[in-house]
Amino acid sequence: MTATSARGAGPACRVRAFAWRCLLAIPLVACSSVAVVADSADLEALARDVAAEVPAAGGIRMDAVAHWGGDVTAARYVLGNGLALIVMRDPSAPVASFQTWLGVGSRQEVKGRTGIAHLFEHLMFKGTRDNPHSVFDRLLERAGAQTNAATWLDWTFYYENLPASELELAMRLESDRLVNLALTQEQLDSEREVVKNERLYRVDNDPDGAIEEALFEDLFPTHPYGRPTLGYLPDLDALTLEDCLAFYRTWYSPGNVTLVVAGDVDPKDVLRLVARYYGGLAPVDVSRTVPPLEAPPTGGPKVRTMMLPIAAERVRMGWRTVPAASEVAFALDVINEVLFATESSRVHDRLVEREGLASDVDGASEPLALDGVFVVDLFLNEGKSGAEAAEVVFDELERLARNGPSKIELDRARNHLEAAFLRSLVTAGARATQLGAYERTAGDFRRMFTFVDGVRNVGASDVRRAAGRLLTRERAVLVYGKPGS
Amino acid sequence: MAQVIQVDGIRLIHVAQPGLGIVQVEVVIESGSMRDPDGLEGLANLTASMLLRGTTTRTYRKIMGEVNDLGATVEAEAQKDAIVLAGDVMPRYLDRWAGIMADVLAHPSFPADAFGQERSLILEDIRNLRDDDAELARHFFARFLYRGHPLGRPTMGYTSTVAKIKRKDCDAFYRAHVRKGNVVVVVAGDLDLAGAKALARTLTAGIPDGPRDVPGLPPPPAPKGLSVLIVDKPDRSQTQVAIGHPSIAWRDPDLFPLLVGNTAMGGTFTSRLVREIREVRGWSYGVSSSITAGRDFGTLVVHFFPNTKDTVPAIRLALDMLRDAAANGLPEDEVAFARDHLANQFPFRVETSRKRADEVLADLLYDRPEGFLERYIPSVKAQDAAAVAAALHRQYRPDQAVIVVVGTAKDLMDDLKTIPGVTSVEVVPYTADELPTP
Repeated sequence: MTATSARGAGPACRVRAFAWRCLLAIPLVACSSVAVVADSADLEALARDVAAEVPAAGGIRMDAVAHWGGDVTAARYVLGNGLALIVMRDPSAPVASFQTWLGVGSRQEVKGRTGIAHLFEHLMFKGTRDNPHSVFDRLLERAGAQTNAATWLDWTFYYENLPASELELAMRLESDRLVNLALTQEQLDSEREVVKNERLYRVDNDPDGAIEEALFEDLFPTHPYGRPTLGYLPDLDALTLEDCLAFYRTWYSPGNVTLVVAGDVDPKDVLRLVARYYGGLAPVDVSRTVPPLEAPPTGGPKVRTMMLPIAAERVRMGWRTVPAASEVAFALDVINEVLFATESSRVHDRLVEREGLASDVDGASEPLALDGVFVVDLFLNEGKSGAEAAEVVFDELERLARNGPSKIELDRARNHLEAAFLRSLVTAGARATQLGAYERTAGDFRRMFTFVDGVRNVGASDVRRAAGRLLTRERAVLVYGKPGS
Repeated sequence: MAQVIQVDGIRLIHVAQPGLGIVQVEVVIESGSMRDPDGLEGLANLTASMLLRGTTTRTYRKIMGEVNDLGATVEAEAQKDAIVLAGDVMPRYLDRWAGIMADVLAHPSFPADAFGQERSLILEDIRNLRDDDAELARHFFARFLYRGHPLGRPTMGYTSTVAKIKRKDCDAFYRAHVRKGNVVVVVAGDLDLAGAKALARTLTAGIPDGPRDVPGLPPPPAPKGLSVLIVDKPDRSQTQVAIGHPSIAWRDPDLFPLLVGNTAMGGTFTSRLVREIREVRGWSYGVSSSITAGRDFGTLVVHFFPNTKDTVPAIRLALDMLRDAAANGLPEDEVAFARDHLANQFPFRVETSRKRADEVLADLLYDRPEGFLERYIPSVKAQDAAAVAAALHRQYRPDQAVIVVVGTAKDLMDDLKTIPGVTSVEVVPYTADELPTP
């Protein structure tokens, strides 16, 4: 499955297609422990004050707070109509990231209608009555904003990274298109072509994209997680304007939105703006039903082979694991470190350095809301056998399940994960994205701040158990890409 | 606040960001693949990779093991004009990490037992490039546009030349070019100035003294007519298209008006090319026009990736739009929009200490005018439609350009020849190592 799909690869000076898998390949760890209550009284008072100023918001309550490092605080507020807001102040640069996270992704799609969540994400840029097509982009770009969006299995999000002084402009425009989108058949037809072109780019003319799509199909044969977020071409062709409008009415409403603001902002000002622009939006009931997961594959490994225009064989191996909120997810991140993530990892060392089978090895534990996926990529040297390399992976997983990691390996994993976390938070945009992703996958942004302790608490026995229970040969799904058209 | 300081003959760039939790470091040695001898293309790149393969006291496994134990990173790579050793580390491990890096810089042994393997990995990298059409387009665009010029030689080298490189060549390249005058150390993040100075001294203690030695480039080629290169790959349903020509240096007085004009043409989602190719016609998911300025000259490239059937119409449209902009300029409202966009987006150029430090590094490496960053916003804001029109007229040359198309030649050849202004169409297989001499 194509990892995710942004609205545009766009101009070179803009953020290129958002690569969600890459982001989560750097697991998330907090750098300091968290006091989850602390000065929540001040924030509660702030919520009450703003609620009193803006009665139309129907009341505002502060329902969660976390502290990070010295004086950085992140807090979540909820408006009367169900809209949630997470604010994290960071004055290190005069910029902010404003993000709108919808609780809808391709997992809510039905068979035969694949691709609608992502296509609709594109259509959200087509204009409203008050702000017709291109006004949104022109106003924000002129103000110095970078705007884009991405869709994945569990979520869709829209972002504006902009000078902090322009936050109100972004809120005015985002709140308008959340409820007032005006679509035409012509716009749908033109954007459908763009999305089909995106699919050609990311899947049909990209060997890695094609392999990824196949892997998810085999990991989830019936569940929507197994269908491509980009959609199948015949499904894209069949989508109607009415399908799109129905999708909008069903999923785009305040109760299905979490706003995230990170950057050089005053939380009280943010709350006032949110109350003003979103407080009056009518609540809409949103279905919380989730499609039941089928049991993970067993009796494997399940294998698919694809002939692709590539110079050397490559293999993508996948396992179903655990949802993002599970404590076991920490152990899976440590397993990735011990076996795959660095030049010193066991499988990398064997396949690339000692046995000369592969030119590169990569691994990632990807948390999802309902489940998780552990993925390993093997890039073989020309003429080398993918099956032989996959056997090395199985061998090392079995050895890890049997004997566990050494103390040195555990310490290395903890250090590496902590540093990776710090690296992933250097910009306001990155911070906001992590907060939103945690909220939408683990169900709580505070999970981000407890990660370091979670990883530090992983012991050798946790690693053995997770590897032995989840990452087995029987549960594995393999896709071989072999040279040849 | 960025600072540039001389420390023991080394240029140090320092930008502090207390609380970041990470110290980011680059050691830039101003000698890259443009200095590869003829017939040994890829030498700077292989030399850079070999730095991590061993020192007189550490093996590759020991170097990477020690670095990974700290949760730190290190990478060594060659660029056109530099070899760069870069990495980051949490402050509590800085001293240990710096000791390893200092050893790598002072005592690389280019060990014979690891040499063959590193060379094989680079050859795999060259082959793997062929799997990615967008990478192929970038690669062949530079080679085609700068054919016969040092910039036209790929940093990774050719399979034929990399196979010929010996470990003693790497050793000799390193010893010939690594001297203090050629080194810039960049330190950004969670470290104060005193710490940064000490770090720079530690890292470069074993590097010999010597003056800066950075030769200029030969002038860029001037494309005659509109030359097309098809990079022929079977069974493609989509193409990757790059249209461009040599462009300006950082010091060129046309820099800011061209930047503003080009942003209006293809630098935002509402720019002209994006609107016409993507929004109106749905031909390509991504469309851009970008200018990379250089010390001596730079490059303009327009990039998009349409369906095979839309490829020639999209190229015709893009060329016509470039011609129109060169002839008629742009209306004041589009110029004002691009001007505001660039000026207001400036905070993102310096959002983090690393970005600030890299801007200062660009000042040093590319000989940018004094106070370039400080004058960026006023220089952008000073542009109007007349200045932009004059710059586009001088700097857009769509009829003296190259077009590279990665796609299936038989589906494209005849139609490409019909594009007005096209003077030649060449075809190379996507597996081609070197381009044929024209």
